[in-house]
Amino acid sequence: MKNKLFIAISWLSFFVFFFIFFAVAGNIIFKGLDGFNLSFIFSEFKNSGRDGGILTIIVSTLIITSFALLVSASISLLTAVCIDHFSANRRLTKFLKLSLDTLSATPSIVFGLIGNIIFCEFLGLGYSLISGSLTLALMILPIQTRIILIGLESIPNNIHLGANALNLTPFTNYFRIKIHLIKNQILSGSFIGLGRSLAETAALLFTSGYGVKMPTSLLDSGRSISIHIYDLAMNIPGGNANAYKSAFTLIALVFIISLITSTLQRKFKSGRQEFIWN
Amino acid sequence: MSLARNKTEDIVFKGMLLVGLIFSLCIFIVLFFLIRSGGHFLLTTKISETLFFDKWFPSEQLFGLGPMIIGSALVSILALLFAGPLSLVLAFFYFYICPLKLKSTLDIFMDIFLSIPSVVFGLWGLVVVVPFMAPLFPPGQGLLTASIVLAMMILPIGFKTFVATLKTLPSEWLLAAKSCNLGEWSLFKDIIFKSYKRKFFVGFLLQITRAIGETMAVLMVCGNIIQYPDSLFAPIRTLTTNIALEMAYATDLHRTSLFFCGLLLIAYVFVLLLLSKGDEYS
Repeated sequence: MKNKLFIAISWLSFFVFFFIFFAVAGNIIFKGLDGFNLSFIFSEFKNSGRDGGILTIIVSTLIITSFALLVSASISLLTAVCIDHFSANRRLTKFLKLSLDTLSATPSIVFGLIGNIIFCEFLGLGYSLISGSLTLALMILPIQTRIILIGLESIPNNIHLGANALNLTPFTNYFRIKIHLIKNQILSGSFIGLGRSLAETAALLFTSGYGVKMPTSLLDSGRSISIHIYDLAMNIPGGNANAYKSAFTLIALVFIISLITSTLQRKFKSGRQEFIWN
Repeated sequence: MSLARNKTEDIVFKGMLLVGLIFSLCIFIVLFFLIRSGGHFLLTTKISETLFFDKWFPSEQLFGLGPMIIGSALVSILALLFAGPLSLVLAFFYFYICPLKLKSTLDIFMDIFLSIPSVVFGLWGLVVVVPFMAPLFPPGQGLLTASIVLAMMILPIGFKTFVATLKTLPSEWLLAAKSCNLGEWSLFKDIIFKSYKRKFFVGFLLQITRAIGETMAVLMVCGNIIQYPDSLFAPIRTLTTNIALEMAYATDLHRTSLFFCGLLLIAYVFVLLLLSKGDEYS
């Protein structure tokens, strides 16, 4: 009896999820597709966003996220190598991991505050694309590091022993040998970071500003697409139609990126790790 | 190029290690800057008063964070009450009840759901949920609306965590359960729940951490009035939305009080982290 009740409840929860999914995603996709065409993405911003398209906003979003990814991908590789290199010292490794995990659990609005103090004021970059992207880089750094670290830790020990037996320097060991084994992890970490930074709003509110002109340098202010949605929905009456279209564009972008990520991870899991000299 | 030891390479590697070390400790840089900018507030006001005081009038130098702390806590707990059990049962459903054909559909739907950014949830809440709630429970923007929107946001996170947990269940146990003719309910209650209690708790904590740190979705639907909520539908303000709303124009002591809010959030997250994964770090 209890068993049947439980099965009924779990089916019910499945239908509740279905209902929620169509209420949210269905609503956004249908309203976003209403009157959506490619010219929306490629036309200029008009009438504080009520009419026209999002060309300048797409451009600043791409600049912010790609620059953030560039910075955080290189630094997170170094960070992961550093933690892995010291892995013999258990206490130090645990401490470094704790500090990284605290950073990755920090709410995004706090990153907005920190970005504002460090990049906008302390380094004097002002409200600009570069301070926004550095803030985002700080935000996705711990996530990427943890993913690369999982890759480094899963490398079989005999490779490490072999490298030591050949008297290789740690530099050669990491950047000529192990890096080939964790290519997939680096890529999937980057895509996860890209997805996170595309979806981020709160961290950019006080760092990259609200500018809508076509950016000419990294020091210009420019709004990302998520801030554009927020601004249209909250501050501009009659901006909902365009907000929905922008939301649809954003979801499509993030979904494509998450598809790439999950394909990469599946590939990583199914293929056995084999060491190939090339 | 030879692979033999070489002095410049050693020096370059040491420099790289130093950079890595600095960036893996960058939570301390963050804390340093927050304290440097918010320290003035810590010195001039009594912290105990700030935490439990309920009057927030920055122009009169009154900084009571009480209502916002309560608001943050209530919103996230309510959201967890809605989303936690649902995601747990859904994860169980996914593994043991769901017909194979539906499984991939559920997978894709969860992936789409997970890729909806928080600001889009806020937009949806503002356009769909608020007008729906407004005639029933005025004013429509409030505690319940915010927690419903948050619950939808944290649902897929919980689902993914629980699915990852259930994947580690040894298949021998399942076979043994099947051969004892156990039903799904006893499989869930006596085997899975008993052995993974701790991991489920961690999953719930993960959801609540996400809920408390969320800014944009809550900002758009919570009403943003500073008060202790007296009903489920009263407008509230949370710590995160307080920062987002006032940072744009705050100056002097008011501004430093917002940095103090940031410090409070980091402390809160740190405690939750230690509660959930503390044994990994000791």
